[in-house]
Amino acid sequence: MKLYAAIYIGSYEVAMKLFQTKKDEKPKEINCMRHAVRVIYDIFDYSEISLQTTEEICRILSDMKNTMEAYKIKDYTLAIGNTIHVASNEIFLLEQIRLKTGMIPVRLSNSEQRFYEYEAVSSGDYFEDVIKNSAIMVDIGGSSLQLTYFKKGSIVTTQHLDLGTFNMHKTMQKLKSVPNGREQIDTVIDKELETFLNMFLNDDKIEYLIIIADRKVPSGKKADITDKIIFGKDEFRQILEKEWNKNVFVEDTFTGSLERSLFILIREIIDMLPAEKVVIPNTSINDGMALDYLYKNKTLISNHNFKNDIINASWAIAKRYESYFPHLMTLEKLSVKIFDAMKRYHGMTERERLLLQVAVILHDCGKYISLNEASKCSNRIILSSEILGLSHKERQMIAAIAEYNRLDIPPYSELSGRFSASEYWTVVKLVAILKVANALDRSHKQKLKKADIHIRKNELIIGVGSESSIALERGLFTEKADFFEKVFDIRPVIVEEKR
Amino acid sequence: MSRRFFWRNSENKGSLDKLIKEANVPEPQSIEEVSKEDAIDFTDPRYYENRELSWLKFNQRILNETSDDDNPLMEKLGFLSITSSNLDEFYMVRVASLKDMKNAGYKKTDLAGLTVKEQLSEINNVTRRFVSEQYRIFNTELVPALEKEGIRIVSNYESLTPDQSEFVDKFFENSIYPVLTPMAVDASRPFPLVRNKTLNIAALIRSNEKKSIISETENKAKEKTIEFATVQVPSVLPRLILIPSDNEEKDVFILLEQVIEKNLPKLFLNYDVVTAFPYRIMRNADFYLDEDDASDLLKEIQKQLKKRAWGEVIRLEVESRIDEKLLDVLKTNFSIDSKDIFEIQGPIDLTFLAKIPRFDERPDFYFREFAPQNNYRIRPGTDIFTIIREGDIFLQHPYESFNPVVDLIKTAASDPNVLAIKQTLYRVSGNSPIVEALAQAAENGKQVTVLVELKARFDEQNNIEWAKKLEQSGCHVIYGVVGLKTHCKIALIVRLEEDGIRRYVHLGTGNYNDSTAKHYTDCGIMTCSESYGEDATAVFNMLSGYSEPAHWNKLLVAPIWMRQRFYTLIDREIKHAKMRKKGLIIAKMNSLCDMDMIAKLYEASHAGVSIYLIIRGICSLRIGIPGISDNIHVSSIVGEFLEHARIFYFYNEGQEDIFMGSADWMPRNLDRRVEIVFPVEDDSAKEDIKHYLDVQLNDKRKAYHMNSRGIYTRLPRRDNMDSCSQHVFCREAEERSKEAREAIEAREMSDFDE
Repeated sequence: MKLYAAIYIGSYEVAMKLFQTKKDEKPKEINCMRHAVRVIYDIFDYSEISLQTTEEICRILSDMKNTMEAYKIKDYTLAIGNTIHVASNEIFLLEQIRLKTGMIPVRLSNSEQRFYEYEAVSSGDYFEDVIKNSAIMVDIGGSSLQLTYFKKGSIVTTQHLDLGTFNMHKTMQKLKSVPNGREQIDTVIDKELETFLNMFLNDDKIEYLIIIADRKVPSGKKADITDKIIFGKDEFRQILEKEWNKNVFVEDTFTGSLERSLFILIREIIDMLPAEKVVIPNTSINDGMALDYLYKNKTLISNHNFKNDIINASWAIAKRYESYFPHLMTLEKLSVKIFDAMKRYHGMTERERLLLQVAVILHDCGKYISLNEASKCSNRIILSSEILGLSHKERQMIAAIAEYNRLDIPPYSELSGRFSASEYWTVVKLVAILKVANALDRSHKQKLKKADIHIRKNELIIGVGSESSIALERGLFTEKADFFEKVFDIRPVIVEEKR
Repeated sequence: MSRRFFWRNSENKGSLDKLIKEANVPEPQSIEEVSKEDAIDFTDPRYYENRELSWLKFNQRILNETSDDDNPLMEKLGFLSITSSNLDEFYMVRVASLKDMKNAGYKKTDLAGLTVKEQLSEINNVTRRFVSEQYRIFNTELVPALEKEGIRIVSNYESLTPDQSEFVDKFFENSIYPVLTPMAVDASRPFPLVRNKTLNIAALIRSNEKKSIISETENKAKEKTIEFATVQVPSVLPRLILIPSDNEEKDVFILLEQVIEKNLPKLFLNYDVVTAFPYRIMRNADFYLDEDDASDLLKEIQKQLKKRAWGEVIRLEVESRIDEKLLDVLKTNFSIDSKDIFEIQGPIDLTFLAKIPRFDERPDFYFREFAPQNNYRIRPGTDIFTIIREGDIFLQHPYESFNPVVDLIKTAASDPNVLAIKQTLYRVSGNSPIVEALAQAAENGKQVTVLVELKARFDEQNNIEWAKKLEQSGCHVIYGVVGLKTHCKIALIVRLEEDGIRRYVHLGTGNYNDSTAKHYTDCGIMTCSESYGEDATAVFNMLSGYSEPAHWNKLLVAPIWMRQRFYTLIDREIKHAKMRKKGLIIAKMNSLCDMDMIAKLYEASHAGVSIYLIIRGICSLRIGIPGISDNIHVSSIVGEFLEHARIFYFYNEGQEDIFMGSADWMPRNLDRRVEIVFPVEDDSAKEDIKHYLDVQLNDKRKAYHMNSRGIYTRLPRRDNMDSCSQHVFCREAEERSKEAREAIEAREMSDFDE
């Protein structure tokens, strides 16, 4: 048995959950401490976090640290939400936390933050059933909203919209004196959602709508009722209506206005997105952090296959940018074979194998924008396309692999601002593999009908069988092989089977 | 361990079963009746009784104990003393608050439709009759009864023998004189601060200095000038002084103020004492605390406590034969209306009666001494945590000892596996062993969080002391929640065990006060149920300033969630009654004066739900109103122990729900305090509580029953002497404890034989 603390500093609150963890068991929450803070207020009003809020955060964290110490907890994650990155003095907050509490915060990118939320939701027993056919997960934050579309059990796409509760509150304030202000607000929301619908859903029917938020989503739950999670759409509408009529929103107060924004957003979402049922999971980002900690430590195996999500989402991006699938599929197979054959020599893990796969799938997407600048465009597309399950750093690495597939990889000194030495070295190794694999389908005609890849002495033997000539591949292979050899000290050699 | 005890078959058993059996199954309603129902206004002021007047009735019920011949003599005096101190507090808080409202021009009426002025007027009338009755009992019943037993309280100084007189004078010179501070008022000395509730002697004095040889005018002026002087009767000395007696009388006491009064000339040399009488003032003790602006609650309360000494004088008590001129001086200087002056027909402030020294040779003067019994589940030598793990422990104080609660905290303090202890403290005893244990735990490196409610009325100073002591020991002390009083009684112990974290929780209806736990009837449970542990953790997070949880597993927590939850529980009974099923509610509490809660009970009664209320004190609900409260019965138990437990029973179609907790159904409990009511889920504990209610409902000796005119009456004394619920509980606790002891001995014997 081990104890773990997940602490998260979000737009509205600092929350800590303490978990008891055991092998092959879901983490058991033993304490949950939440304290409201004015992070988002400060950021939107002054573009920075005030000294008062910084001190308050440090005081709360110190108190939480005391609780952790009382429980003798050593393993913890202190994550800082995406909203805080916007603050001009974020670095000051990080430093103050470090100095005053001794805790080292981890900055979460939007996709990392959403992924934790997603991990939490996906741990629900109901989850696989919910996404079995089709579902949309809506994650409403303070400054933005994330829509993730699931089809047949895995992610199709995930999109980030600037529609958070706080944004809505600001818009509402601006439109307060405008005639038909309420309708204008609905129009703003509808317009954003409509774009998403047109781009990704076409006429697909959606079975479930999963709604999570960093504020309490109204679900009619009372203290004495066992948590109900899944509601019929009309039933949920009635709950919303009932809560709305309770007149709990004191519009003049900030909290009241935020609650109101959340209600309006949810109401428009359930009206716009064609789902039959609504799921209101009872989870928080802290739950996701704990699960992630357990998955990474191999204490627990997830019910859900996140790797599939990442691969499928990558294919969805490739499809949107009209990449040539037969080439990508061949390349994926070849590069994975090389990776596996080289395992003893490169020392990389399954995670890097996944990065390679994603890089392969996305390496050509830049061609959609510019044939001439394809590498750079691929890099940009990857950096601006969110893939739930990949960290921001991982996305940067994938973007670099895609970019340097064609170009020469610069020396570390030029990339040291983006990567650590080990990250750089991973990029280099994966680029080397991708270059060799790509060279084997240089013609994009999938000439190789089979490829047996193995190591023999200091050579990576690529035994290929092809019905047509592979002269082009052979001709251009040497340069890629040289680079590969430089990286691994192993020479790739094409051995052609006799026809 | 077997849970079958003899007492389950006691003769008291059966009334609850009977109530369930006899609970209404309402007749179906006609359409006319249903539509008429909508028109009923359950909040009509005619259906309610003013809370202050109801409280005065409660104090009257205590006063009745002084005439109950079942009560031993000294206990009767004790009851009289309680009525006196109760009345003091009532004036300092309730009357003071009404006066504040009057001064602020408050126009609204109370739930019974009375204006502030009407309330004050009626309180004054009732109190005058009450005080008159107090002194009638004292003078005509208790003093003669004491004298019959050879105990005399000297009422007239002149009646002392020369020896006694000499003793008293010497006692004055040696013991009283050094601690007196006489204060005269003249042009250079303003009227002094007279402290709240203290007994004082007011005097008019005239100079008798030798005549001036220079100025004849000055001499004449001096002769004519009468000055006012006052001296506080020192509270450090006992009010009653035992003086030597002749053989016929065993014990003779004289009141301290009489001795001072007699020796007053010794305090004002060169003056003649024209007249002197004791008096006492009551000040407004209800202070306003602006918590939002108070950066340090502890300091702010200390500041306000000092101000309390200067609160407006709202009541003046003087001896009935006081000199008119002297009374005028007091009246003018205290700026008090004639209607707030009470002329007393005996010694002022009867609280001294509780301090008469104990007559150990006369056990018949007192209630049979009852030693709280060991709970039968607590086995000597077995770790308390192990016992709790075996099942929830239900404790009934004072029948069962409070020691297990103290032991739980003490054990936790020294247990190496305990990580944290969290507890609320509202009123604690002097030298509280719980405070000691908490301090020890902090010193042993545990994380100890204690919420000390600094706003606990009249315990503010005491609690400030505890708070400081705990802080010095390293405890994290929280001074309550801004804007709310934390009244809930909860302790949480976090322990690291082999299979992980386990939380032990104690929840109770009474304070963590080992002293009052011997006199107040309260209940509590100790549990390590996970859902209670989660809720308890959330409670302490909330009290520490963190956000409330999304939901509670078990607990009903005020002020946000409790009221609605009670409505839901009552509504369920209403629903059942409307479906022509049985509906039954039994609620035991200290006070019921929340209008909405009463309206809900009226609605339930109207729907056909049978309602039994056991309410010790204030009850603003009226019974027997046709179509409104026909199905409600109200009783009130006043006895040897102070009834203090809050228990709520809902029949729920036979799936009975039972709750206990710290909250009454008063607006302050439901809306302005942090309170916890918890469900009792352990079957065995549920049976125990049902039995508890059963016995109380069957009490034909000490229970009063309210009639439709709001009058409380008891059954004639000759009936059912054995049904006194408190005595039944004492007997049962002794039997249970004995049975458990015998079982242990038998087991030990058999182990020895083997």
